[in-house]
Amino acid sequence: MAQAESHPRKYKVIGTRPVRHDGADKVTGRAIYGADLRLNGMVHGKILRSPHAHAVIKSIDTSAAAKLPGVVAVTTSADFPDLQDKIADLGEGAVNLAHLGANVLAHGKALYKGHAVAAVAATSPHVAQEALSLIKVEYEPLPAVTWVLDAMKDDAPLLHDDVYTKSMGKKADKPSNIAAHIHFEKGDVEDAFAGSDLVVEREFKTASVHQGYIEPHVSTALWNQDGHLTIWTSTQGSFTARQQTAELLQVPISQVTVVPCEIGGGFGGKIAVYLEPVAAMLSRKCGRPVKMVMSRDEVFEATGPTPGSSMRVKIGATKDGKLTAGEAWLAYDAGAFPGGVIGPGCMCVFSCYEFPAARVDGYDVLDNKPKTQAYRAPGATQAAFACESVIDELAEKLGIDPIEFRLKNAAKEGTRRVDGPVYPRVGFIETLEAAKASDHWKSPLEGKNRGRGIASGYWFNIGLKSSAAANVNPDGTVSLLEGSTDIGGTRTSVAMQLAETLGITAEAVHPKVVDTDSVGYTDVTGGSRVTFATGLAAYEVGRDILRQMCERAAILWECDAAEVESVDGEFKTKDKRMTFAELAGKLSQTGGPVVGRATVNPEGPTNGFGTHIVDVEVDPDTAKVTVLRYTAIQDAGKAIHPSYVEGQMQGGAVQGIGWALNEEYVFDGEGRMANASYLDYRMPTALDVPHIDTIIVEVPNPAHPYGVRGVGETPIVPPPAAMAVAVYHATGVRMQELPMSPPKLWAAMQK
Amino acid sequence: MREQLVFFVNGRRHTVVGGDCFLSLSEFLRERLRLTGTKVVCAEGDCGSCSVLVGRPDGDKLAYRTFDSCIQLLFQLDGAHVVTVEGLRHGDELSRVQAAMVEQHGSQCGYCTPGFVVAMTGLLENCARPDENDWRCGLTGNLCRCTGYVPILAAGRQAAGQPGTSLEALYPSGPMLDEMRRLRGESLAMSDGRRQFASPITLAEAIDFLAEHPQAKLVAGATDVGVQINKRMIAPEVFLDLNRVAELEGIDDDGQTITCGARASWAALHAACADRVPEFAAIVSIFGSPQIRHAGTIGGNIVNASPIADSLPFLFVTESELELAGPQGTRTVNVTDFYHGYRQTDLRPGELLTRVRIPVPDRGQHLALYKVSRRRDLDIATFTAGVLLHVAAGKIVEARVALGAVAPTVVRARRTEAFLRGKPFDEATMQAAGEQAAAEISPISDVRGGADFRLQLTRNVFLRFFHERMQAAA
Repeated sequence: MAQAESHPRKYKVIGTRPVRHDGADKVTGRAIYGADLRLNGMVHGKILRSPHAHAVIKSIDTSAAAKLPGVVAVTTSADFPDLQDKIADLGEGAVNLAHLGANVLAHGKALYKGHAVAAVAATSPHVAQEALSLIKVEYEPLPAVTWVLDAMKDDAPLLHDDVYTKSMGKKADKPSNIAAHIHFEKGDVEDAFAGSDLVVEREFKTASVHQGYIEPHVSTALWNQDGHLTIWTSTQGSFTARQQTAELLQVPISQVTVVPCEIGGGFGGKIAVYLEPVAAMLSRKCGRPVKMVMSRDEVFEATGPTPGSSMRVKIGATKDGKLTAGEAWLAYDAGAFPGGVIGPGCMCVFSCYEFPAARVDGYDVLDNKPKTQAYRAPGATQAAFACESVIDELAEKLGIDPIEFRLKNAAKEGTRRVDGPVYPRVGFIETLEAAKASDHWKSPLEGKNRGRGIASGYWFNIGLKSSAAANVNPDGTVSLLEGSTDIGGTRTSVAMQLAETLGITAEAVHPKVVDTDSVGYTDVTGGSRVTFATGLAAYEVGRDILRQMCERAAILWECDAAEVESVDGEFKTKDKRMTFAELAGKLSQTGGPVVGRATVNPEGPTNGFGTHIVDVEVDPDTAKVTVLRYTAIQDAGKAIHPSYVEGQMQGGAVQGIGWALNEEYVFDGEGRMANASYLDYRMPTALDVPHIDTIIVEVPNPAHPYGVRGVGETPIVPPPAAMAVAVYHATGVRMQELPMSPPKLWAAMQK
Repeated sequence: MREQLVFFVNGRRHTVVGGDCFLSLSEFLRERLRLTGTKVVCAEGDCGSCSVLVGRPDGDKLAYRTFDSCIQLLFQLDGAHVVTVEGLRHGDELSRVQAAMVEQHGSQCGYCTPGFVVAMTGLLENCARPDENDWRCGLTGNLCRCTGYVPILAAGRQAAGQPGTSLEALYPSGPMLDEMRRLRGESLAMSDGRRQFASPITLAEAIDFLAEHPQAKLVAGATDVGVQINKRMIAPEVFLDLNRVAELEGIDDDGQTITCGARASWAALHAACADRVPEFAAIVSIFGSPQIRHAGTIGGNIVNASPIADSLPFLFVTESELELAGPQGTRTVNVTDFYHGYRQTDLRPGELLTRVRIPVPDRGQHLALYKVSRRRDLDIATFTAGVLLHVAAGKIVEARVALGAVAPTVVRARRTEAFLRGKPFDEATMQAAGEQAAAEISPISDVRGGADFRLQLTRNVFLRFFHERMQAAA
């Protein structure tokens, strides 16, 4: 891999703020999202969903629905291949296909309210909707469980009779809702606690929250008569959507093409397939393109929230403020199928600090909620809420400033995380120093019922596989093809890295996100990886182009290619020079077009740290929290497009504020979500949040030629903890439960 | 009787007959006109992704307001001009709002962007120099999940500082106005064989239609009916559109009483109350988003009979009067006698609410209105209250207390009022009044808050009222 040192520190494109390539399409309404698609002969699919949170499906009779005029196809899980015991690696880890399939269409049992049971396609969405009411399903309702600790009890309603607790590579001997137990340990924990001057232990709980992306899930499928399946969809990963769909339908992967439409937000929730296989099956049955669009209540009730959790964190320290030991017990709900986000939760809970000894136990727990999915730093926000709350309490009791306390213990190059890995150069200390030097931290907070909080957070940020190719146009521009669906402006941040490499302007690169037949394999837009990994692919594409262009210049100049060097958008020998555009115009004379291509698979995390400061005011009568001021500080490695980095920090902070104050899944006594609409699931509006100030710290990532670290996820990690600390300083109450909504905070204030 | 809808979209005239008249505006735009920049996300008027500008005659030109097109039924748009995000460009250039959104990086995933562009355009159309608060309040009807709103607000500020083309310049109203005035004078009705609607222009016609079709669903702003249809809670086959009934229009103020037609929108009511009853104007301003305030009506809020209706504590403590019209003529009912139970009113079959008479509190009276909810704006109340006290020489002469979200209807706390009368206006009295009021109600627990929380809010209201008065006096 290229070394950062071999490249100029002075950038021409990187660090500037060009407008995004798709800007005009977005503001004119011209950008085509999945719901905007219309194909000839297209029909509309709808899904019948379980009204029960837990029930045996005794029978499904679709005959009356099939007879309704306008209905062209009906399907249930009976139409799909039996996937018992099949495991597939879907890019971000191994997945049990039987579970994935049963989530797409229930198999024998409905496991949460909203679980898909059957589907129809009809000539209009209204007819499809009417047809659903004609499907007769006989249910045998079972007791439901929606709180993680209840689900762990021996006498809890059992979701699956074939799930046995996996613990340290061993399988238990009777089925359980506890799908997995994770355990990490470092040093002698008992000994280390015994040697502590102060130990604080607290329990925490958090409610399930939803990613809340604005665009509902949507997919259109056409199963052609030659057996080829084309899917137009809103997905974070067209290749994983292709693979999941092919596996569930048991067709060869090459028989499926996924065309990614513009995507209206994902935050981790648009990686698993929901509609794609169903639309495909309906299309296979009727021979026409089938479009399926979820309503907002379907999005809430049937797609991935992030887990509710119960956590216990115990941390010890010496009088002079050195951490001695940590112990964490984390139970996260996985929802209806195993494989929640407890793993990263366990890895992140103590990841900001140097712990001489620590122990982490984590539990992946099944309950009657939709299968949980990733949500921006999945699992880390809950864990940070617990750990950072305890860290703040320790600092207070030791009489040490919370930033100084963190600085004394901050993870740095060489720190070994509890789960094993040793950090390379990271920028946590720099974010703390920047927080200390910030205007926000230095300005006193005055006024009654007000408080200031600070908290830090960590997220790995992954590498994984990315491919790209680029065609040099005769006018000196470059057309870039990539496979990473663009959610936050990555078309531009990736194009900028190609432009920098080639020495041309960002505007001279024309990026395009293309389908799975038109670019090499590329993993999901997730893990804050695109600007890092696909950016690395673009850099390698640029190097490939430059190498070929040097050879072409050598042909023109009749010299050895080794004599030609490329510097800042020029090709030159000792006595000749030509601009990139000039040479691009002459390629046809030197053997034809130049196409650069690359595929990369960088290993290991890029390690993103952030620290957030917040001021709040709490109404003593109503317990309503008003956010007065907010500053987010983060190490971006190198900010390719600073506005986009700020956008990620601001967006993540506001999602974190929503999580801290208001957002939650509320379940009724039968396990049904009681607030499945924006009317009762309250996401922040422009009036609920202040201006979010940002400070970008740049500690270059040694594993990227331009020093890039992922930035998208870390910003959601610190906010709930920072808000809880601020609320404490405003009210004297340490909230150990999310959300800190007025009724809950009010109740805590009465104690 | 006209039997076709006539309206304009982005300057083009459209006529619609048959079943399409019952579509939502958003579905008509997206599916019939293929104007897919208008997005449907929540289908209940919470997110603003479907925002469009609706122009209606106002004097000698069209006044444009932002609406949620997902909860407008197409027949409500008769005689209006709808401008979508696609209609904002002039020639081959972006509008100033569109250009600012690009330059300030106001779009990440972009799904909310057209709605924001429309809402920001609507704000600038009606407010030349918006300040920070205008922007934040003006965009509460639009949810963005990516940006934290920072670059969107920056785009708003940038656009406001640049010269822009008004909608009047983009779409000269002259030719449209003439036809709109003519359309306004014509009654309208339509059936597609299964469903029917009538859109009369006089009260008499409306009452006749209701007498013939007692099952008819009344539609004014449709902020509630639209949601219920989209959520498949109701599927009406007969609609009575009240949007064009002349007798339901208008707001008058004779110095003592504000009389408003039942169809007065929240936006219009806000304008009428801003100086006269600032306490009520403040409640109206957080009643909902601009989109909801432009569409929703006071009549709808009253007749809907929700125990958490934002307007009711105020109407209860002022003892506002409701004018009801029906086949047997017109009668007047005090709003405190109007509700018989949860979602049950005094309206008799065939009766309509036509006017609301609001006695304006005089200077000697202290009025305070409270709404507690999770978010600041566009939110369902957890608790509402109204307190109106007349204090003379330190003694409470008259007291009226109304509480919402604590019972099946908004209620007057009569025993608390009796307790307060004649007592000195001091902290001890108000504290005791809080206890008295809490003893007088038995609220329920739901997703918005627990019973104990509501009881405490009830207690707190009185002390808060006292302290606010003391602060104001100091």
